Amino acid sequence: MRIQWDNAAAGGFLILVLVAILLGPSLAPFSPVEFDPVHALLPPNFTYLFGTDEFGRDVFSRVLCGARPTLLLALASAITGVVLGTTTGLVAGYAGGVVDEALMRIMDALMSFPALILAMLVVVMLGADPVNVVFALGIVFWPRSARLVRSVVVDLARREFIEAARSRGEAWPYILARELLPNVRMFIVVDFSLRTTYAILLSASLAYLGIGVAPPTPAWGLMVRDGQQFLEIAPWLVIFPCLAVALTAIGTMLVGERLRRSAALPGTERSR
Amino acid sequence: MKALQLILRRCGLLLVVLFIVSVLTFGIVNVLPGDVANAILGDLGTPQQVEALRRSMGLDLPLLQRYESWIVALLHGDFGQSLQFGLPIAPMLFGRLANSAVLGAITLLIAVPVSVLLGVIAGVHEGRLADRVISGFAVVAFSLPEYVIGLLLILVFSIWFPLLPGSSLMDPGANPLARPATLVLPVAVLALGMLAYLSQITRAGMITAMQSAYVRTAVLKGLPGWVVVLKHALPNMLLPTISEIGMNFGYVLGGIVIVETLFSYAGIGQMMVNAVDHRDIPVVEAAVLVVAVAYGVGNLLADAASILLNPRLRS
Amino acid sequence: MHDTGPNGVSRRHLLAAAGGAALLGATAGRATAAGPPRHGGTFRMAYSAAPDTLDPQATLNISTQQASSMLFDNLTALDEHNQALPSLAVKWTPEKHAQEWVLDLREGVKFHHGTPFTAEDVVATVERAYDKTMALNATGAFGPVEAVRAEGTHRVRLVLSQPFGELPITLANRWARIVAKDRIDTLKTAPSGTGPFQLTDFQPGASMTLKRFPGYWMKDRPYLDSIRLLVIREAVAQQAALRSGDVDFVSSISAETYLALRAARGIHTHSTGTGVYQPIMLQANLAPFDKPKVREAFRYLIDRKALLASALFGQGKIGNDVTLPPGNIYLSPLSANEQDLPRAKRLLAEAGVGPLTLDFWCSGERPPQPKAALAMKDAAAKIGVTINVRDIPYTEYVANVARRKPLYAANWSGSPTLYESLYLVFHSKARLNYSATETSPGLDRLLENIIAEVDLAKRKQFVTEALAKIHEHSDRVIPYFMNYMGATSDKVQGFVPPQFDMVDVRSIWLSA
Repeated sequence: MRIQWDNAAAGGFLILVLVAILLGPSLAPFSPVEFDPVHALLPPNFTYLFGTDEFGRDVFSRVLCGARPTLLLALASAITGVVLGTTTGLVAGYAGGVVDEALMRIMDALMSFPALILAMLVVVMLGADPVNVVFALGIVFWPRSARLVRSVVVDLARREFIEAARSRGEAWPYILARELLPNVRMFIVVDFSLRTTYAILLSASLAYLGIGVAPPTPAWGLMVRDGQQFLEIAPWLVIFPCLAVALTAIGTMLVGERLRRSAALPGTERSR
Repeated sequence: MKALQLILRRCGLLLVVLFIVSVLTFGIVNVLPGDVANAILGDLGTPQQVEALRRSMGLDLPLLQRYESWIVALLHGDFGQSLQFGLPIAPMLFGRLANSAVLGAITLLIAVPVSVLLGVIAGVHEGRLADRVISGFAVVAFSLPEYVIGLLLILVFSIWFPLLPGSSLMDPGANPLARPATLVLPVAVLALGMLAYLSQITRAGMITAMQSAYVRTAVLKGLPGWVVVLKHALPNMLLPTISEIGMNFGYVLGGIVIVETLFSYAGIGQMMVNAVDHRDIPVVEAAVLVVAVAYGVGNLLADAASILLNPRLRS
Repeated sequence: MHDTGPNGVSRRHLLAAAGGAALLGATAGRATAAGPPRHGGTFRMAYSAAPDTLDPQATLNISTQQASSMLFDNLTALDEHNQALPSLAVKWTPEKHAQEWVLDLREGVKFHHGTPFTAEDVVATVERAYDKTMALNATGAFGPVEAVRAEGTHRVRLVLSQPFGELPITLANRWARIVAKDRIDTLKTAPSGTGPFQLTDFQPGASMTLKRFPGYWMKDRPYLDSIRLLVIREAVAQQAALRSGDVDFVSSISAETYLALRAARGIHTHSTGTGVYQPIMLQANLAPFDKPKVREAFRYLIDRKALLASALFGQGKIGNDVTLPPGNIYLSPLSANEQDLPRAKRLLAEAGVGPLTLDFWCSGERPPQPKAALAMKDAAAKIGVTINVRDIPYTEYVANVARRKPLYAANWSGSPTLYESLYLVFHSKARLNYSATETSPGLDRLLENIIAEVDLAKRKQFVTEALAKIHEHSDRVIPYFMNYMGATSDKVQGFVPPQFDMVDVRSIWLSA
């Protein structure tokens, strides 16, 4: 996306996210979890900027406080997926042969599950808990990152500097970590930013199916799910967390785009 | 004949992948908390009843033995019986598969040409107004979860302005095309998601192609703009786009899970969610495998297309 | 002597004589408002969960039970006061102090596949329901049956393990449908009953289609030609479908949907009090709730009025920890268990439990359970009790939580009998006592007396004593009773909101 203002947007967004994560709870004018039945279901006004929910909780405060659980979960999932994927991709791409074949077929198998169903199965299997959601999303991202890294590594592994390292008698962990990894670094960073976007979307979809939620955590996906019942009589319960999800997703995409351009990477694989 | 060899090899590998998928599914569904006996009896069932039901369904047999008898039956073309319904799986599976296929096919038919068109326009006009509008739209559409788009569409087009049905209920025996109006919103949700990012892939491909030497040469030769785009740039960026569409197949199938649940569409995604909820192992297995086959074949076709289109691989 | 309820013998015999015609008396008044009932049309009913089996003895969710109520008949039905009316049985006579019951069956009734209904079918039905190897939810549906015998073609004798005055009412319950003996093997695939509708199509997990059974024993009923039972999971989609006329009826909707539809034009919303409740289970055989004082303390945590307002928007009644809903004839005045945090704190201190940290298990699939859980968490935090809300899928709840964890929310249907609403849930040996504990000394004995007693005044005395014990010591907090909520389109006539989840479609007709 060659849009002039995207540098500013990406930078501004990063600052906004950091502020929300670090200071969100202390900026919130009200408690995100405590009940205040007297002020239930108020539309947005000057006291309650985004209105209140059926328990009288301030939606603005909940959206602010939701930044931390939502984003930390997304970042952690992206890290998990990218670390798993990078390791697999490096090994498969470098080793080649049977190892490559075996690893990539397992990755193909994981890819053949619809992402949401795979995440759902893993979370239900391990129990509804944020850590397990991170793990589940990590598994969903794993084959996608692995494919990407492998495709780059296969190419690199035939280059001279790798040959040189091998003839120096370097052990393969060294070659993977010191020679190959730095060369795929930029791909990984871009991939990571994309995975973060998907993680936000996917965890929201999971919450919608009622999987992996832990009330009263004001995670955005969960807020949308709880609020959708009120879509007609109190749309502010859905609109504001939706906006938060969308803005964050747009922001992480812009950051990713910015990174991609600075690394001058051509159309990197972007499949979900 | 190297191309044929390559394609045959892919087919063989697909079988390996399907085997891994079946093992993974069986393993995971078996360790989910609760089983189909719990789902059938609910919390009214006493522990003794749950045990009895488990025995009568053969759930007390060792895992390996159950997997073996399941896969042997499958290799004989028998999908087995749903534990939840006590009915054979094949008829419900294929009915629903057909419904989902209709949904998916219409989505692809609409989304692919439109997104290629939008992507080409944006790519050619890189950085200008048309590009900004298209890319901006793509980013917004992409960053909303499907169910949010779906809910909003229902609210606007079925409740505020009641123009379209908000659920895709089908009459028995009828196919989804019998009432095209019911397909509009689900297809719109799926297509929006696809459009959002297929158009960006096309756009990126187009930008690269426009900067390539042969396109520049064509421009220097003084050919009109549309000839350059259609004859030189487009054919060269089709290849990566086609393989992206193959990958997208999996995405469409994933989006179907949410869309079918939201719109009460009797397709395979809804069936899968329901079967997981009820721990109906044979149904989960069958549905996941069928989706994996669809995904695998989709990729295979895309690969075959790129192998056949790629002169280096063809020779 | 042979009284089966407060309305006495004479009323019952009167109704028995009147036969099926009286059955729909309660609903006739409504129908006339829009002129004489019109025959024909397809009634499309939407539920949020799919009918998942055709076997009437294995049903669990409401849409499945609705289907079985249309395909099959019971031996008895209920009137608006929850007393027994004739259905497939026209007369019931207790013998040996109600330890044996003789049922006279209706003649001339046919099953959908054409064979006549006889005593053999009843025998086969009951025997199947009680077959332990089948593991059906219908186990126990006909009461404490020990043996069932045909005495001629249209007379059946039920021999019970104990005197049981409520048998005729029990026979009307959702699992006591009568199936055909010669079609018992195909119940899951091609069910045949005597009900007003017969099955034409079943799409597992998606829909069910039924058509009018022309040979139905009740003359002129049903009015409808066919019925479609559909699944719409999402609240917003339910609203859209009803408004656009894609369905005629959405059943068992949430309070939020009810509110949204109440303002809509061309739509009738219905909300009636029922006996459905969501108990907060305090598992009496597990720490810390094995101490009666801890159980008592938890009764004073929740602000029930506020919870009713925020979770159900007032569409229900405040519960008082007894399983009989307000207005029940057996209910005698009890002090209201309401929020009293100092008292709760004091009781916990007296019980000698240290600072408590508990998981509260609930399922978003059973709304508004998570809201009750949040309310308890919010209140408990104020007296130093930490509660973590765990929202899990229903199947996981069944497997790992119910009867196994100390603190969780359940979902309980209402029932017209004391047998189901008291005995089965609180007797320490009963099937549905999740704690398998006598929560208050002497309660078992009282419960046994209640179901055996045929004298109304004496029975009422036993109930009063039992409820006092339950109110204070039982293993459940009952914060609210939930209304039945549904909505019909304008053209639906003769609809009566159900007391026990199932809608009687025989009285429904569609105006032009």
